[in-house]
Amino acid sequence: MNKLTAKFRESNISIPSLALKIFLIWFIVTFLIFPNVNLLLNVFIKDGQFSTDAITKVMKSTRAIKSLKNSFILAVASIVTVNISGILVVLFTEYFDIKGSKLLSLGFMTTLIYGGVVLVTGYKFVYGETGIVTTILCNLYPGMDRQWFVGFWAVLFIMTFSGTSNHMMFLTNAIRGLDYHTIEAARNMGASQMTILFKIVLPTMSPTIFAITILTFLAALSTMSGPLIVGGPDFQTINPMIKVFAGMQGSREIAALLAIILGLATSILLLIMQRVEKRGNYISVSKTKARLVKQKIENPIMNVAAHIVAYTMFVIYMLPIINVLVFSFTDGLTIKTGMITADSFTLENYAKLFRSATAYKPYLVSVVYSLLAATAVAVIGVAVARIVTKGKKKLDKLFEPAILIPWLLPSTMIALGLMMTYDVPRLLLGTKVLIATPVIMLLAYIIIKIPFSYRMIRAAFIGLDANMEEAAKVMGAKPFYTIRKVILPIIMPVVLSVVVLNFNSLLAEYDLSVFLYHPSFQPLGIVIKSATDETATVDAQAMSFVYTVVLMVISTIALWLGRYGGIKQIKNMIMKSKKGVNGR
Amino acid sequence: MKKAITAMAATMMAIALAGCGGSKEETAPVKADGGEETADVSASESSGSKSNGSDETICIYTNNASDGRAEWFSEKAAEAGYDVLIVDVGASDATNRVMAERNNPLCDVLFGLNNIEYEKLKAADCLEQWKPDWTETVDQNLIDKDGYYYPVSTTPLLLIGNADYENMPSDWTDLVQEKYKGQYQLHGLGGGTGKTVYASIVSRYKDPEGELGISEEGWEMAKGFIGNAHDIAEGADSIGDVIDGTYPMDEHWASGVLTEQKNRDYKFQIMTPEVGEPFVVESLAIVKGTDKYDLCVEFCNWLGGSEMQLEWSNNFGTIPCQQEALENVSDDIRELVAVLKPQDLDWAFIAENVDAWVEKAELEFMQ
Repeated sequence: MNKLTAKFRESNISIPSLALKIFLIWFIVTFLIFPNVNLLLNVFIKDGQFSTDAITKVMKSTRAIKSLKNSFILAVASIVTVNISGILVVLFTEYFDIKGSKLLSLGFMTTLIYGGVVLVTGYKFVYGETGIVTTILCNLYPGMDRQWFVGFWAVLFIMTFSGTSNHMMFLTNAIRGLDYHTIEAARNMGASQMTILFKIVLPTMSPTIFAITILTFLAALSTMSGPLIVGGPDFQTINPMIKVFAGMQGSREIAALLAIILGLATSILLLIMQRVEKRGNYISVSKTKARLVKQKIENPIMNVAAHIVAYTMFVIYMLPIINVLVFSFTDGLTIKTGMITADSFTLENYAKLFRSATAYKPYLVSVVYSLLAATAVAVIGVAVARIVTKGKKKLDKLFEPAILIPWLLPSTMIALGLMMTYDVPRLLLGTKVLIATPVIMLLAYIIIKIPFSYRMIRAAFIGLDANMEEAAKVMGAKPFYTIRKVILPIIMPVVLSVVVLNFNSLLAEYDLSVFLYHPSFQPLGIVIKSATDETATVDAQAMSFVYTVVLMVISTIALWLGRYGGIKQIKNMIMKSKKGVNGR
Repeated sequence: MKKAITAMAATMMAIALAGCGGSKEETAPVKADGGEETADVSASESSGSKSNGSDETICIYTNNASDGRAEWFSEKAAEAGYDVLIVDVGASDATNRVMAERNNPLCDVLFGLNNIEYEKLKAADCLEQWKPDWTETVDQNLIDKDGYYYPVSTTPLLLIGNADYENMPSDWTDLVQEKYKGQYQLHGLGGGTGKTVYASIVSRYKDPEGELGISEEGWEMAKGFIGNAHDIAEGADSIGDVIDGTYPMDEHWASGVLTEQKNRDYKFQIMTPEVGEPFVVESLAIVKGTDKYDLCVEFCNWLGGSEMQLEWSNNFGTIPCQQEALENVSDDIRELVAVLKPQDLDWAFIAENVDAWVEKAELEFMQ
């Protein structure tokens, strides 16, 4: 026994961290590796033989190849354009002294509270045949084709301005964490504003930019609504096809193959980014960070130009969401035709929401599920990011590829993997059967959000100053105390951002939920789908707008609570009122 | 705030854990009584045995629950003394769910799915044989010969055209001609409408020697039919496009055609092929492994019966299979039904192959 403890001491193994690792390994094997491998085997092995039919089928299909190509073109193009608009958006609101930046930032944050079909439809209302911009352009240039907003450029345009959510969340965090001393020092040494921006500010933010680039790439690769709605016949992408095939029993191997191709491409980009990341040093050296002071653009022409660009972007961001809000008060026919008349307006859509007495229940179910999942994911993300960035053993690094597995498969197939694996008692789960229980959907929610969360939290860890931790250690702090008191407070903004983004995106989740939800706990996504099902109701689209508006409200509250000090404000209010009572 | 969250979390977890060890009895009551579920779950959990009689909950998977139908349906069922839990899920997802839940079935009754899905479930041994007391009064041709599923309502799938469009084809197979290129709109093959119409065309060319059971000629036809079409984009107003003539024809389900005619005050041309139209038949079935078999049969007798089906039609515009109900439906439905006849389709053959056909179309024919 003594020997054993001695050995532990020698090799620096702490029991809690060992327990944590064992738990994580169990979790990864049980939920990330086993179900997915099981599904893939099921899908690719036919009559006891590994089948390569899928490869031949895809190679033979001109449509599949073309769609794949389009997806990659879009992904590469949007890495460039989304990064430009995203970085600009953050610079305009956080770094440069732009008049009315508070208002601007509200506009730029709109992408955080809505997305998908409704967002793209919003853009179509603005730039489509009957849209306001098209009408203005047609007045300026008579004879212009009213159906100009279609194809690659239309899709890329929408991606460029709707894909900046991650910049708004994480790049803002990064720029706020910047040490102002470094900027001042550079200026004192005579560096121009441009030099400071490109040599100091942007390089310090690059771990975050790398992480966001990967997310942007992935989002563009797997985009659905953009190409479907405005892509036209010439610019269709691969994901709609994957979705159709994933839902058909006999074609899942093609879905898996296509998804794996996308996943591999993402992995390659991931590797490249990590290589680049290793070369740099991103930790600002100062021990006493100074708050960033907004920079006034010195060159007057540049200053005016920056204001013009900022406000043009603001208009681009605001037009679709205003359209969505307005159209949510109109009937289904108005939305379909895009023509508003005086009697288009109705409150009937909103009335429908609360028709039954139990209408609030799905909201509650989804809020609880999303909150639980978002929290659990954040904890796992922090734990794994810590192990990967700090661990010295080879084995520790293996956590990373394992935890990114869900990026390789479409969510439908992750759901099916879970269902096909845990429909019988398995030793890994202590012989519990998961299927048809309320817990399976929670697990699925956690699984699909792990890669994104891990990647963002990891970026925060990379930028962490190791000296702080060392200092804590030298002063005798235990590892977990150090994490709690030193590391967590620094990375907390990023973790909270992750939690909020995950929460918001899970609120109306449908693809997984439809397979996994327990009948007694209907999540919001299912209710929305059934209220907006086109085969059943003419007002389907109107309802999807109304639900989007409701989701916007919930998401805004979540954003405010998690990101913009809402919890603190509430606390202060409670404290004040308590004080007030005591004072009397 | 924190406390509230913790409390909610704890409740969820408790339910979740209870669910984990759960057996088939663990089905909570309908959403009608929000807060009390937790208690009920654990109650049925601890008792562990079936309670007797009609106070048990019947869990129904159906694609007929959207647009207020679920609420209406559970109210009606409650009036008739049935406690139901409705799971709103698309037809093919319902099939996927039932198949995946085979070892721990949650669902008792399937309602509204079409023959393609039922044939798949039958082949996977997921259904129970049964016989309702109303088989005499429905079209005998619509009944499954093996006695697994029984028809309640039908949805003919139609090609509709702009009222002034002069070249209205007489059959789906005409559409491959050059003059129809880009003139007709098709729904995605992932959905029921697109899939069924496509299958109804392809399956006419059955050839045991051919690829996927279809002759060379059949594939030529399929290629032309899919390749010539305009695919409806998500959120597009396909009906509006028919009316303003952008794309003068559209593939549409009958009940939808009637509602659109009413809403837009318009009368479409309707193609009536000699072979008839593909009729999607929505049927009722009982899932294998249910422990409430007798109750389910009794419930299905009520649900598929004439009276209930007429009410359903009056509320949601369906075409009932029950003769008596059909005679009493609203005028516009009766008028439409009078000119249509069901195409004779080999559903077992279709069910067995349709996924492969769709796969081929998605990969090779679509643009």
